[in-house]
Amino acid sequence: MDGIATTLRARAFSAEGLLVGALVALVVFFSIASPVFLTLGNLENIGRQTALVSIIAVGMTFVIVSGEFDLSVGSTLALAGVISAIAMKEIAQYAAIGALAGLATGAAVGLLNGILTTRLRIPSFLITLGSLSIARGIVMLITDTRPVVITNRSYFAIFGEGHFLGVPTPIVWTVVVILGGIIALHFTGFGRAVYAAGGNPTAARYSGIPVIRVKVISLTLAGFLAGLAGLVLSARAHAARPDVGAGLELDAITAVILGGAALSGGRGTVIGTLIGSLIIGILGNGLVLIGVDPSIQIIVKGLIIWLSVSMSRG
Amino acid sequence: MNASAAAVGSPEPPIVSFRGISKSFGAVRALRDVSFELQAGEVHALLGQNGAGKSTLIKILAGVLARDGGTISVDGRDVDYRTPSGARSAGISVVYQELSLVPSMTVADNLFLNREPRRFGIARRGEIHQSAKRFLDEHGFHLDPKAIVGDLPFAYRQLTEIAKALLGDVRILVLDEPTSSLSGGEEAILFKAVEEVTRRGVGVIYVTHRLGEVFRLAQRVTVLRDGQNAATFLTKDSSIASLVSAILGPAASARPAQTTVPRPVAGEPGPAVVQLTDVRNDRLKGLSLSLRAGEVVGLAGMIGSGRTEILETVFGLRRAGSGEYRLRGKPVVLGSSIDAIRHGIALVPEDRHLQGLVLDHSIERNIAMPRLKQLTHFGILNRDASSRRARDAVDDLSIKTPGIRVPVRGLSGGNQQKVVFGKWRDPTPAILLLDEPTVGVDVGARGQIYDLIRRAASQGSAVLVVSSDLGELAMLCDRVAIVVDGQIRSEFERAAIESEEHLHQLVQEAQG
Repeated sequence: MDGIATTLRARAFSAEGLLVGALVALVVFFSIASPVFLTLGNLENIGRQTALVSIIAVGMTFVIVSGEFDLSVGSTLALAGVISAIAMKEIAQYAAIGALAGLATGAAVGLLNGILTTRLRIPSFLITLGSLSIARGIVMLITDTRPVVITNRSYFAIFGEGHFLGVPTPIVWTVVVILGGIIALHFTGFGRAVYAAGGNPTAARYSGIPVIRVKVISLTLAGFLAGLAGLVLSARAHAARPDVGAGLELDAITAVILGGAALSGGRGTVIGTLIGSLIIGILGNGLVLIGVDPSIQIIVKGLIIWLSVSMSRG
Repeated sequence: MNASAAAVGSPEPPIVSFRGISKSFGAVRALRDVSFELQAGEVHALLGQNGAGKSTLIKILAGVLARDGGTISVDGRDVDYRTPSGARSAGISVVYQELSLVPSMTVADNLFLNREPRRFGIARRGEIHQSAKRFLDEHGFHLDPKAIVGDLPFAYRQLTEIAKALLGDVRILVLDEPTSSLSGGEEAILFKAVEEVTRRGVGVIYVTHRLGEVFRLAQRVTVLRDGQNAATFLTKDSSIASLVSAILGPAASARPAQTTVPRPVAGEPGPAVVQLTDVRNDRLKGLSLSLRAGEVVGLAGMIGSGRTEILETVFGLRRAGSGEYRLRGKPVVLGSSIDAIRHGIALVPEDRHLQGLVLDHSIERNIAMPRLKQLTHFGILNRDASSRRARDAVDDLSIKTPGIRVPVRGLSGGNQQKVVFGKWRDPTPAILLLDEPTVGVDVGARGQIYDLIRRAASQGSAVLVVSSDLGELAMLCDRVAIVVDGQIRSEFERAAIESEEHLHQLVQEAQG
């Protein structure tokens, strides 16, 4: 019996070790293959590119660990960006108004996902499949499929183009979200409840854990963070475009799963997710640098998913 | 095959014989030179603590594991199958504790799963149902062939599993703790079915933790201890005491598990803590029950009588509906288990895998679950306090584990159950609800769990325990209430219950 436990632990460690090893191997490989890869400019580039996926993936980690799923984050991101831009245009040109409107929109979509999936007892996979479509449709309807231009400079500075202590703000936001995620998932009572709710919802309920509330909060958080990603993206582009974010949910889910989370819930870490998202980002960036055909890049990404998932599941 | 030749000690060759079986897992020697034989028409019980090697032996017989050494012969011929289907074609059928049914299919479909084409060409539902019905009736299984397995209570799912194992040309039936979640009525059905198959010359290997059953069913009993043969008895020449000392071994035999638990002190129960008056909901039909501090009250009755639902109602998982629910004299409405826990109520549920534990999570995480609120200050979890709490539980309940970070999945049944108790240990619950607290728990751990229950009561907890093991209730309780159809049919003080057999009789009488 002890043997089994030790093996399980050893496997968990080796899965994490494997993940870090894969990340290091990629960095080493691309550093050798491309002289540009390890320059400050390119690293910043990778940081900016992975920022969006990382922010969304942290929310997705909570959702997946709690035993749920969120396919709608890409559309939520677009909706939040558009509402944010419209709010500034129509109400007042304050960055705070735009931020508040965007974040509230994201959280509201997440809350609605949470309430619908728990009250109607329909799998969140299906509920969020619906919201993916509905949110995207609303975006196209209210923008008439045209970008909404943003002119607020402080908005650009806070979310997209500014620097804080020399670090680009998208990367700062990512770091804040990751640290916040680590604390919330690994050091709070709520985090424990998220694990329990995903690991065995019945046992959690029998132990007095408010499983429904925990799941609703996790989905709301995922929506909120998708909203933040929407602000970052539109601040960078100086406009909220209605077509952004499509497919981003799959990148986020891939990052979480690469990071060692179980699709069935109850397992996963924020650090693992970060490494997963870095692997995806570095792979994308590095393959471009060494001139690999974009079609091949997508295939490589799929192969990486197969490989990592089969290794971590033993 | 002559059924009358089944008499133990007959010169007939055994239908199965194991000689000198050994098996190691890495450095762990699970079985050493174990021998065992089974006559046609015999029920041969296989006993031993968790980890004694019973499961390994059964898995070798079932073709799931390959032995390292020794010989197996069936009908006097050496056999060397290494797969479950090889075992099956040697006429060996095993019913495991974990069920192998498809929950979304009917009983009949499950029975004939993978056998339909050979029998019928095309799976014709009508015929399957009819054959299933005939088969079930013949063997005395009270099962509706059209029922969806997933909708059935656990006991009936298990009966389906046993029925499925009996189908086809079975010579050797292995039952691994078949009664662990059956109650009086279903037990009788199972025993009848076992008698029926032995009459047809089938040999039954019967793995159990319940010693009483050994004497009701088995002609012989073999005890394994630490992977070796400890003893083989004829049941008519042995006693519970000799079985227990064989199971526990010389070191522990000073502590006969079921009887050392201090008998409850009669009289002087505290004030009423729980009072249910004429409670009615979908399963309870005018239930009245009161429970006092320091008292252990047993709920006896058939599966489906509403015993578990009483606990669920007290624990806030079911609404008390019409009727009154008072805690410490004050009427309450519990909306959820969260409310119940806030009132100091704890539940050790019936199915520890499904309801009690997150199997892939560590002991520490599991034990922290019901007390996250107390362990959290300004949102931040006090990990040290939680680890301390888990370590205290491991020490206090003597949970055998290399550490508190180990996933509970790897622990034995008894140790898993102790973790469930550990969840509620600190602070001591005012009201402790226990649903089949010793199912699938070996003799040694069982004694410790009884000690825990008595200790909780002596510290002032009001304890309500549901059990299908009437010997357990007779030994443990100050009072036993018999539940029939969502009501308390009758109640007996400890003094009025003479023995387990007497309690059996009282439960039977209450049904009428």
